[in-house]
Amino acid sequence: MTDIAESSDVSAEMIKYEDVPDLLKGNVVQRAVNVSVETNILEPVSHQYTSELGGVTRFVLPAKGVINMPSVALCFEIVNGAAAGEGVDRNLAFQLDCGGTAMIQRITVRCGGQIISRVDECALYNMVKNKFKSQQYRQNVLDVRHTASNNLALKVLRNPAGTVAQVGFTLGSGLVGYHQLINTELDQTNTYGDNILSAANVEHAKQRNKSLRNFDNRGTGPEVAIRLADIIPFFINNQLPAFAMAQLEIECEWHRGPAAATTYANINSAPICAADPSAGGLAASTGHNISFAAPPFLSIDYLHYDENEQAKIAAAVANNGYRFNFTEVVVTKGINPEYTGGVKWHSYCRV
Amino acid sequence: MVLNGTHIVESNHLLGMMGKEVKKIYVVKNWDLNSAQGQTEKDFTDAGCQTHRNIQLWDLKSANIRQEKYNFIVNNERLYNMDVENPSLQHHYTSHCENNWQVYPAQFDTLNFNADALSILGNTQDAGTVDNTNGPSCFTQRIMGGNAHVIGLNLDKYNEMGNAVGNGTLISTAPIEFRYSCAKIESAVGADVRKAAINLTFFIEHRRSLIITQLGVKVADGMAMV
Repeated sequence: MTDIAESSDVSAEMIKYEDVPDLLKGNVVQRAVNVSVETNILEPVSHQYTSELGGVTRFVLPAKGVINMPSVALCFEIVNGAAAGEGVDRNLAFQLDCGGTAMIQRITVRCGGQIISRVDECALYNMVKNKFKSQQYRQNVLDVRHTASNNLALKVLRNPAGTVAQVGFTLGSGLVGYHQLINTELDQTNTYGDNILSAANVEHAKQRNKSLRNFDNRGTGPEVAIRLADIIPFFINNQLPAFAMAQLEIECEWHRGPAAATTYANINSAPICAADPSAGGLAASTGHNISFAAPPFLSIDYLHYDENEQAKIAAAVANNGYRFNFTEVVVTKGINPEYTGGVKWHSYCRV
Repeated sequence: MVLNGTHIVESNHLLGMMGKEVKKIYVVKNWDLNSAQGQTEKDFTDAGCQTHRNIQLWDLKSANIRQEKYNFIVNNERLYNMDVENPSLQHHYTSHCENNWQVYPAQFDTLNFNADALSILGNTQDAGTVDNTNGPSCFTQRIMGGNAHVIGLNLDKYNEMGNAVGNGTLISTAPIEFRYSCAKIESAVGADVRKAAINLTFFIEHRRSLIITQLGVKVADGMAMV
């Protein structure tokens, strides 16, 4: 048989393995089942991170029960600075679209040393997938979980009461800002639908609950909680019977942040950004290095079904094995080259 | 000889995936900031939008580029009879991948950085005067404008079928090919130049199968199991 199976081979392959039972599909179960839920806070077996180099955190998941993988949450808090006295309080925030997900460079799930699923460029992939979510879900759910900033509002240019008529209302031409959409973390108007009243009272700083604390105030800043289903496609629909499986591990490789000495003007890529993009001093300022307030942890729900159900799952694993179909994502890169003038109209390249 | 004006630069990308059942492909584009030309251009803006070095999104964005066209070749067949160059059609095809590509207006299509199209995003002060440089003016257009243009291709037969075997498209020995072209600008005026390289990141979703056994797991691509 070649690598690519004929259709008849496919059906032969499929009947060799058990279908995934309803309890492992992550959907609502259409029958009465006894279950108890045990929620665990799981500390990593190893964790290291520096702003200059990035870092790695590894979790080993205890082999018990059925792990409700879609709701397993990776939780952490990032602070500005890496030692006592370092960092400026509420000077940094997470990148707008992805929030704290921007910290994750690559995440890998292993079972018995074998990779089940790996997501490279996790934050960029998350940016893409989030754009398929509704605006309401992004701003009401993901913004809160990830400390992202997707909120949107409409500003309407008005004629402030008690002031001279705004020139835009009498002349119009050349003025376009009557109705404009604004990201509320980038531009804060006085009230909903209101315009900036004057150049003096405009605000661009992000809300307090989205700004990172300095090192000395660690533990009091925003906590990021990323559901594994939000970043790993495998876990959107699947739960894992850990009690019948080899050792499960999750390895998280973190994006590096700026070095302490790097000026903001020289940062091209980072998981964090300035809380206030308009701050004059930021262009030349330094000290944007980051660290974890405490080692990240996993919040895990274990589902303990009654013995009959667990025995059925264990027997199926022992006999034929369960087959899960899932989506994996791979990353590859290419370059559309610089125009060098070597060819008049077209330049071709193959990567 | 370097010619001032707009020049189409094409590139051709072999994505492979032989024997895999591919479901979706996303292409993210970011101007290169690290080459010598990228360093020169990195703080340039297009109609005020920070398409190169974006101080709030960094490289976690996908820049709209002037006159983008693309086509895919899958299993030796070109998918579209004409390269997809209409941004509405590009948005339509990206939206096929899931429910809908839901971004602010002018985040996906900027009409080649037309200021009128972009003015739906906040960029004024209190009097409504267009301004993309001053601190008191709204930042939304500067940060968001033209920075969510992702190319998408759906190779699933039905989205509702999810990870069912055979729902994706099985790739033969011929690699998936992506053809891309866009306009680069050469100019005697330094600040008008937009000719740096563009980095493309491809996210290729494909179906895999995992078999849980007593001794561990087996993971396999495509139809055949190991």
